[in-house]
Amino acid sequence: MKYTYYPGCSMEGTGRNYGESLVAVFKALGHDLEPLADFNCCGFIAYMSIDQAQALALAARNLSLAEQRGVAELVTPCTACQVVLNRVDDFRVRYPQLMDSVLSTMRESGLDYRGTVKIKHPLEVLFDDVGVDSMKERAKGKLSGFRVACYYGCLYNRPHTISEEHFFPTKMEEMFSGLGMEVVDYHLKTKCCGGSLTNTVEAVGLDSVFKLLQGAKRLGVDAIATTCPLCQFNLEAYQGRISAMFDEDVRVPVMYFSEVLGLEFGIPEKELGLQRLFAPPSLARA
Amino acid sequence: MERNGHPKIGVYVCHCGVNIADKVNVPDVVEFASSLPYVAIAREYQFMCSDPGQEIIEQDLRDGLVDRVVVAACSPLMHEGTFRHATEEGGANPFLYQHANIREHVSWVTADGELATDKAKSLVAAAVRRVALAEPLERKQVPIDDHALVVGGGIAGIEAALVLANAGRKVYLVEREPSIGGHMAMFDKTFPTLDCAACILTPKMVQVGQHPNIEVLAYSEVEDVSGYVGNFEVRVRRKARYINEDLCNGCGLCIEKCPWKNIPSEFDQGLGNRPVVYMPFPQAVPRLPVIDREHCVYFQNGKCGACKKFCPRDAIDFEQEDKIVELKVGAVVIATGFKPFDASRIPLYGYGRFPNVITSVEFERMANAAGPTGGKIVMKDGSVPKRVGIAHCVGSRNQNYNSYCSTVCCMYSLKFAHLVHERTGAEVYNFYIDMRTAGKGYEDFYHRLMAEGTHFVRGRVAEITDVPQVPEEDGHLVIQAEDTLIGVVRRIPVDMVILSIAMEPQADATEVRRKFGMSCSGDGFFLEKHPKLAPTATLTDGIFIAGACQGPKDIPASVAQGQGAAAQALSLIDSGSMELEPNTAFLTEELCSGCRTCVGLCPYNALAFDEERKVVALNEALCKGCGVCVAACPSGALQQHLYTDEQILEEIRGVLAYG
Repeated sequence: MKYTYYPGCSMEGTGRNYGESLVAVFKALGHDLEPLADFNCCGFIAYMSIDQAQALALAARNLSLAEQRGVAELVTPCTACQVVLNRVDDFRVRYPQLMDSVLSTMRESGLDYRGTVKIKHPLEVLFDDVGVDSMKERAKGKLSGFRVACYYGCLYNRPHTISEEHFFPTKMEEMFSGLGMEVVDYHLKTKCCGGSLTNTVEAVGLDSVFKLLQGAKRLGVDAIATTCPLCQFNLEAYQGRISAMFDEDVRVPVMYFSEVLGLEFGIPEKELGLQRLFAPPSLARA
Repeated sequence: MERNGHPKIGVYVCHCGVNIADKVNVPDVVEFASSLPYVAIAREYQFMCSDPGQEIIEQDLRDGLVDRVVVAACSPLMHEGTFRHATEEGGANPFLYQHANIREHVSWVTADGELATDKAKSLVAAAVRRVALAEPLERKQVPIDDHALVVGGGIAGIEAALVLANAGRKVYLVEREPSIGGHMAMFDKTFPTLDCAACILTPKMVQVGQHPNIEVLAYSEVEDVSGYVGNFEVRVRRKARYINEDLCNGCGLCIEKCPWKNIPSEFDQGLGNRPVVYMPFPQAVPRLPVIDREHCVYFQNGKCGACKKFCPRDAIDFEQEDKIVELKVGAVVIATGFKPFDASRIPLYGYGRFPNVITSVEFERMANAAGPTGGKIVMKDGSVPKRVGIAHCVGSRNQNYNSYCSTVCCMYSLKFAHLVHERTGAEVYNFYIDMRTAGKGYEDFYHRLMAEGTHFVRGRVAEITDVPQVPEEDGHLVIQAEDTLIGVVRRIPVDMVILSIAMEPQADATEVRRKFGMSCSGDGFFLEKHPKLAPTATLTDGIFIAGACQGPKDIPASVAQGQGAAAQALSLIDSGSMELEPNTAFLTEELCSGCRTCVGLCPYNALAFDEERKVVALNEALCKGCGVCVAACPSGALQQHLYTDEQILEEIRGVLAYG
């Protein structure tokens, strides 16, 4: 099957290996994952608080392009992009006046959006649609016994809906344990990674990262698996500094969940972009 | 109108003190009314509902000046009955009366006096035209069965059954569990007096069990209900216990001899075990064991049968099957209680992951001397906790779960704090949003707990975790909450956490609601007829509700409702017969084409198709006068008394003809 994904800015920047590994994993499972052509910035979370209408217009343009091309499900790997794109439908219901004005402006430039595109995280696509059973067929047992902490961050499963799972998603755990990995009980899985506070209010941002790393490190994991580019960056980039700051060695590999899957499927590390990680996981133990 | 000869209509316009007269020009309306066709007399009076006011109507009727009556006054909900009665007293049929509402519909809601007067005139014109076509009608008397059914054997149902039975009425008490007693039977102490729940409940249970007027149908469920107020027919499924009730004397030898004793006890919330043959608790009523078929080896491979071998009265009956019994009752009291909130739905509280995070119901069993730990408050490893946290509002006052307050949790949390403190000497931390201790003696209890040294932290628990941040937290559960009184986030390490879980509607509340023709409020609890003035009645006549099935409530409130609902049921079934409003549908058979549109629409099964004569047949005793069939009938064969097409059309003409 052919899937279209929305790369956003990170799949071509700090999260390049996320995009690369996703494409490789989808291919290994017999599916094509193609980028949405001519996409633009998602609208960015922080921009919403400065100019809602413009931020929503940016988001809606992407959805409009997807709708025009008959894309029913837009695969969105970055959970921040996912939140912003989801807001278009959310605001349509809650603040129809605002969305009407955004859409009528868009119509003047020949774009429209009827609300037919569903935003899906690749983890949902792989778990719900592809299924763990068909992944098992592709599995090589390379990571059997690999101790992994599943970390979703705060944005996966949001904006909050009626779902009772938003504080406690379990898809990654079920997938990895289904593939023979050793999934640890990591209660911090939806705690904040510090977000942009690692840049703006360092003391708060780095403290958040420390707690997450410490929790995983104490569980003796081989790696933390993430679903969000900003989480991955925050958790990985400051490890040396944080270990010194808090006087505790909290260095631990932090990978995208798709990279973990790719390793299990025996995809060459280069195709998964593993060389881009600061600290690739040691497979010696696996 | 010709059909009624030359009607002589009397129109009486009420001032209602200043309520109407301040806005509506009453003399003007009276003058207008006198000019209408068939109006013989039009009068005004300060308070038509007063005795002299009614006397005016009665005298005019007696004097033969009028033979039909219109009163323009308040809402018919207030005084339609009053004036129908006055009409009857004056010697006319009470249904030759029409009410015009010029208070709620006019003077109270219309700012402009002239407009209000115009509107009052048009309503009077409409009422006059309609009453001219009114027909004399008879109220029907139906007999009422004086048996009563109580569904649910918790404290509310027990009370209701006792009140009805003590008044000499035969009561069937249906309970789905093997014993009556409900949630209260599980509890240790009761707030705020701390008397033991069993000590005050079990005497009541024994009374129920021994009462000559109460037939306890335990381990049974209502299958379906038909009929109507005063004459319900109820089918009850008596689930197979595999014990012959007539032979068993409750000696308990089968329980003792059953070799399979490791089934998690439902009554003990899985904290203790029970045998496959069991009674939920020692004081069970009826004193009859039940065989848990699912876990019984005999039912799996035909072996064992120890109970049967040892039973001295040969009461074990493996061949027993479910039985349906049919009951006829005049009134029903529903007291089906509540379901405790499933704490694992809030993953951040770690219930199910952390062994020492327990629910309030589990704590009740643990604190109970007859419970799995013999009343000792201990952790899973058997040691005594040194610090215990109690989280209020778990699943209550939370938009993600239940937005309502469960009303009882603050008080039972205080009770828990007292018990923990008394029996273990542990430090106790109560985390609350607001302290809600409204009730007689409740606030005093709160003050007593403060004096005992319980710590109160004002803030909803955000999370319970075993991930430590500082060395003091190592090896403990940590409760994190924002203390909103001092504005900081607190992390308090404890050994055990009790989750004060919400009260929710029973899982099958919707099904029960449907069976008895009730409604539910938005939160899923059964809906009362009026939130203030009819709290135990429902919108279906003859069906009453009591206790936590109507909404979260504590024991005193449940008892009060149980007694109240029973009194209501009693006043209904004691009247022997009842009058029905004659607003039922009636059928003109010659007009019926046999299309059967109406048959499927009738919610009360009052319409059936007569296959032989190819027309519908209407059972007026079942008809509630909802009017659905009348609206749907394409040929006008079905009409409704008090609301015939021509009466309604004439009323509309009256409104439109004016001005």
